[in-house]
Order: sequence, then structure tokens, then C-alpha cells
Amino acid sequence: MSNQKKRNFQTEAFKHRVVVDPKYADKTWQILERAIHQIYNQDASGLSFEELYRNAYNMVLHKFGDKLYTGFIATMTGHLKEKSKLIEVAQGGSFLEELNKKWNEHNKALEMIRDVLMYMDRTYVESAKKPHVHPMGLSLWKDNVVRSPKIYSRLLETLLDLVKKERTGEVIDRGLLRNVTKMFMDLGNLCIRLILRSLFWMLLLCFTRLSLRSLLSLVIVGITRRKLRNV
Amino acid sequence: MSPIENSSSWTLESDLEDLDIDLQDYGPSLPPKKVPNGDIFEASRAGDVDRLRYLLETGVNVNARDRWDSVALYYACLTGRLDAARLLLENGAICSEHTFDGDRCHYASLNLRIRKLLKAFEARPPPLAPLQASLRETFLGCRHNRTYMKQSSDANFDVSVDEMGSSSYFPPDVVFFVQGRPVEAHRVILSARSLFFKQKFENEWKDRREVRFSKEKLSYPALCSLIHFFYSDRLEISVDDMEDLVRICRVCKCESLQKIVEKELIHQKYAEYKTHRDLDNSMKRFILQGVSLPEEDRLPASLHRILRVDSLADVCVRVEKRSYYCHQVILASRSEYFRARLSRVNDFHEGKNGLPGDSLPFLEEHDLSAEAFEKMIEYMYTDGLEEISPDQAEEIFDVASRYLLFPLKRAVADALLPHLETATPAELCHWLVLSDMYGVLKIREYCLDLVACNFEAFVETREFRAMLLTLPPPSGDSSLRTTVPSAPGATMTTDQGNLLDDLREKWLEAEALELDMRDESALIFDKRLRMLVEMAEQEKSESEAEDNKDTGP
Repeated sequence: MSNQKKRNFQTEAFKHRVVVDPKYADKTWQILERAIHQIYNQDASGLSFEELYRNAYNMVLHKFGDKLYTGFIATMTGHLKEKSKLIEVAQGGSFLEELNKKWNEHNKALEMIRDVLMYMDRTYVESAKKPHVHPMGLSLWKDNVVRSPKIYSRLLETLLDLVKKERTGEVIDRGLLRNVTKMFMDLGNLCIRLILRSLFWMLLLCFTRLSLRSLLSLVIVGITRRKLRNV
Repeated sequence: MSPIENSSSWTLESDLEDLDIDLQDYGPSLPPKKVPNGDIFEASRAGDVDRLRYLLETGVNVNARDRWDSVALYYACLTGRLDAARLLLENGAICSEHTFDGDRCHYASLNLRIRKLLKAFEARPPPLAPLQASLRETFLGCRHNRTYMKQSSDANFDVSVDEMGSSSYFPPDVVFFVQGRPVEAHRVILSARSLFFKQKFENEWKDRREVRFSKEKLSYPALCSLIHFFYSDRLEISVDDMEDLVRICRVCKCESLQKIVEKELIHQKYAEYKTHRDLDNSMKRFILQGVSLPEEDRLPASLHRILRVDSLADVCVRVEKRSYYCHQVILASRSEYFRARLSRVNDFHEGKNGLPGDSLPFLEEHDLSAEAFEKMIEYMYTDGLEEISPDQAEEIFDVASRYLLFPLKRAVADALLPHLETATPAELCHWLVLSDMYGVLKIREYCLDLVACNFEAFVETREFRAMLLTLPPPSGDSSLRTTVPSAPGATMTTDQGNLLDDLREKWLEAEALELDMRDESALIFDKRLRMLVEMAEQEKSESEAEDNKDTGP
């Protein structure tokens, strides 16, 4: 070929130069890690999506996909642990509100992180047969927050308490209740099953004679019909 | 999500529920097994979907026959591998009963489920090109349009409609209400395809998000199919609505389409003599492919035109100080990266730095050349790729994988292959490493084949040995080359991606002794590789020493 002389043999083409630096992976990961922290702290407006995506892309391209994936999981787990502590200390009525607020924050951050890591999601994750970023983020939330021992039982009690209050004629925040039940739906079958089983037993004990006309019935029966077929 | 994994929710089930057949009868005769090195026929017979997908990706001809004159689909049907058959059909395997191969497939089908699958695909038009397919997804990504498609098309006909979730959603910027029902659309596409819409959007409808039509004559299904045609270059319309469509075409000045539909209407009128008049006509549909139109009226040509005129542009992309005026809906439909980028403009830093005085949103892309970006944009709009030089191919591979434009990688690979025929071993090594990095399976497979068949020649070259140093060592996993045939149902984790593993397999295919001698051959190969690596290390240290001598005092 004509350009044979010109090119001489090079495996180090223009994309390879980054790997020359042995600390390349660590450096890039630090940038991304910092970005994930910033996204969680709702401080992303200083970040450049293009730059982050490009960094994540280059990492995966140079076979550091594994490092990126495990790093992302570790960072997110850390954040969720912090969040669950914050939720735990919330007092009384603000507990559900705090949970809901944190859930929304997590969702937003997760979507942004998924977009930044999109290249990894489409290539590395698929060839390595690992869970995708979004489901992974949801299940991390489930494991670290919803099913953390201090939150789980309290969550059930609070929900039940709300129903009780509603039955006795008090006004409750229906929007909040709806959001929380929506969260269970997003978290998928397993979580719904766990929560509903406990809830139903407790409900049965408490209100055996009541017909299910309350708000809870509206919300939960709706889910049940759709999702509980195989429980 | 790939449709393969979803096959359990497939609509055929409902049809089959009526039949009183034991569910056991639907299954394949044997559980699927893995054939890590099988060809397309073996993979189809074994039901190894992963292998099959890999092979198709490397560019194997899906309709090729083996030495028993059978096609891959035949084996999949014969052994009842539903997923494999589906994958083959989706990649364009011929299944028409009027062909030799198709007839054999129908005849050989193991069970009713396979037969149904063949029938469903027989009635299905051939798959769309990437450009048309992605724009169609954008059209159907709008909620209201999806309900239309579900009602109008036969459920079997379009399995994909359900599976498209919000993932391919790009918000529409105009909604039409016809007969009280909404159709969502994007101005850019309509303007590109029809002068009528272009003028309307420039004048009367300039600032309107909603347009309500009150004329009785305008029918909803006809307008829907026309707009669907604008996006996908494929017209699907029930015969009863065709007259309405002609009227709409006249108004929208889509002359070439109008002519064809009118002609077909006349044909329909007389064709009716041939069948019974009282037959139910409501299910009869007319399907027209974009290729029936003159070239300048097809989708790629229309989009090519708007790429040159920036009056419709709604985003500006800056690469290396050059500005490109583009259209958000097209960027977003073609590339998931741009879709995320455009929808996240406000969340990140980019939202702030719009050019003063310029009302267009503004994106800046780094780390790529303007030439490569231009080629990519051209491809995004037209699916076309003009001749590219091998020097440029590498950068386009980079751009294509970075922007998740996987079809572009295939197109470049096709353009590159003829150049590789005359390439030197050194260059082939270069392409092998590159194709492995960017996941261009077609090139990777081609280079591996060449290396394996001319192994001795490659061993002689210094570049090949240098390459060995940069690659991860072969896994040494002997399970893949064992002489024991893999048991049915056994799951093996094939670590696709280790170049040297794959090279060993290829070499064994070409050179190894038969059966139980194979393991020995593999050991010889491994030993050979180790020796070569040692040699390469020596060479490297020698050349480094030389360099030091040169640069030193």
C-alpha cells in the first residue's frame, strides 16, 4: 500500500496515547468519582456532561470497564448508606417525607449517572452480562435503604399508622402515601411482595372487620391486581 | 432490551391458547446447548443464540446454504429453536413458502409455534435501514402515536411496538388533532418531507404547538399513515383509507406518492373482480416501500437537503472551532448519546454557555476532528458513507463507538475490507488491535482468519511479536478446546474478547490434528506463543538499549 512507508508500524495510534500514562485509569476514575459525588449533592451545574461521558468512554475503551463498574457501585453504596442514616434520624411525621425526598434525589442522580456511564452500559455491561446501571441503582437503594433494619419496620408501621388515622377521620397526606407506594412499584416485584405480605398480615390483625374502602385499598389493590398475581 | 429475551411475552401465545395442546409440545426436542466455535448452521441447530448473534454481527450471510443445500433457518426450524429462528428471521432470512429454502423451512418446522413464527415473518416487510428504523422509533416513541399503531396493525405484524418504551422518546413539538384524536410529530421531519408543511410551519403555524383540523373529510388513519411514512419511508395503510390518503397527498404536494397510490387504487378496483366482492375488506392493507419512489423523494434525500439549509436548524454543534447547524430530532433519534445530552442540557454545565445573541442551543464536542464529525453527521442524516480512506477509518470507528452509532461501524468496516486485501502483515496487526478495541467484529474476524491461515508468515514479522506483548495472555482455559463434546444444556462462560484465545481457536481450525490430538496441538500453539513473547521481550529491551545509546551521551 502507498501509505505503508508513511505509517510505519504503530499500535499506538491516536487513541492509544492516553494509556501510556500508567496512572491513567486512576486519574480518570477520580474525576468521575468526584462527579458522582457532585451529582448526588445536587451540584452538577458545574460539570460538563461531554467531558464526563468522554472520560467514561475512554476508560471502557481501554478495558477499564471493570474498574469503572465496581467503582460506580461502591460510590453509590456509600452515598446510600449516608442517606439511610439521615432518614433514620428523621423524627416522627417527617420520616416518610424524608424518605420520599431522598428517593426523589436518588432517582434524579441515578438517571444522570446512567447517562454519563451510557457507553459502559451499552458495551461493557452487556458483554460482561452484569445488571445495567439503572436496575443496579434501584436494587442498591432497596438493599441499603428500604431493607435496612431500622427503616424497614418503621416504614411499615408508619404506613399502617397513616391508614389508621385515615380510618378515624384524620386528614393525611395522600400525595405522600401515593409517592411511597409508587416507589415500591418502581423497585419491582420482590420488594412489593415483601412489603405487602407484612402489611396484609398486620392489616388483617388490625381491621379484620373493615371493608377495604380506605385509601390504602385503592392504592394497594390497584397494585395487587397488576403485580401480585404470582405472590 | 433485545426482542429475543422477550419472546415469552410474544403475541403468538394468545393464539395458541385456543388450541388444546399440551404445552410440552411447544418446546424444542432438546435443550439448547453452546457451540462456541460452531458455524452458523451448527449454532442454529444447537440453539446457541449468543454464538449466532456474534456470527451475524461478523457479517455471515444469513441465507447461505451448506453442503447439504440447507440454510441456517432450516436447522433452527427442524430442531424447534424458536429464539434462534427468530434471530435469523430478524436478520433477513428468507422464509417465503414460494421459495425453495422457505418451503423447506415450513415443511421441516418441528411444531406449531415455529410455523406460526414463519407465517408471521412471511407477512412482514423486510427490515428497515438504520436511518428509517430509528426515526420510526422516534415517531412511535410518542405516546399517542403508539396507541394508533397498536390499533391499526395486526398484533403479530409488529411485535416491536410494545417493546419500545420511553427509551426512544424525544418530545414532539407539534400535535395535530384530527377527528378529535391526536397525532404527535416533529416539525423538522414534516418540513423536510413536504413543502406544504414547511410553508405552514413558517407562516400560520409558526408558534403553535397544537393544530386542530375540523374538516370532516380529513381522516385520522390516513393522516397517521402519511406521517408515519414521512418518518419511516414505509407506507402501511388499510385499503379502505387509500382514497383519503390521495386527497391528503394532493394537499401536501407529495406528488410521487400520490401517483403511486392512485395507480394502486385503480388496480384495487379491478382486482376486485378476481375475488369475491362480499369478502371483508377491512383487514386488507397496502404496504409501500420507500424504494418505489424516485430517489429524490425518499427520506435520505430529503434529510440531505435540510442538512444543507440551516433555516430549520435548532441546535448548533461546535467542533474544533467550526459550527455545524443540526436538528435535534435527528441527532437524538440516531444517537443515544445526543438524546441524553440534549435532554440533560439544563442539569449540567453546558446549559449556561450559550452564545450571546444566538438563540440556538449550543453543544461543544472535544477530542475529535471536524472531518470525522462531518462524515458522521452525513451518515446520521442519510445513512450514506462516501468512500473513506483507511487513514480516516480509525477515527470514524472512534466517533461511531463514542456516539453509539453502531451501524456506522459496520458501514466503515465494509468500506475498509477491500483495502485490507492488499495490506501488509504489519498493517493487519494494527487493524486487528484496533478492531478488537472498538468491537468491529467483521474486521476482527477477517484479520484473525488471515493470521491463523498464514501463521508462519506472521511469526516472521517483528510487528506481530511486538503486538503479542501488548495483548493479555491467553486464558489457558482448556474447557473450550476439549475433545469431549459439550453436554446438552451445559452452560459455558465463553469469555469473548481475549484475542489470543480466539486466535488459538482459529489456528486449531486451520492446522490442528483431528479429535484427541487437538489438545496436543493446542499445547504446541501455547508453547509457540510463549516463545514468541520471550523473543519479543528480548527485542524490545534490545531496541530500548539502542535508543538509549542513540539519545545518550
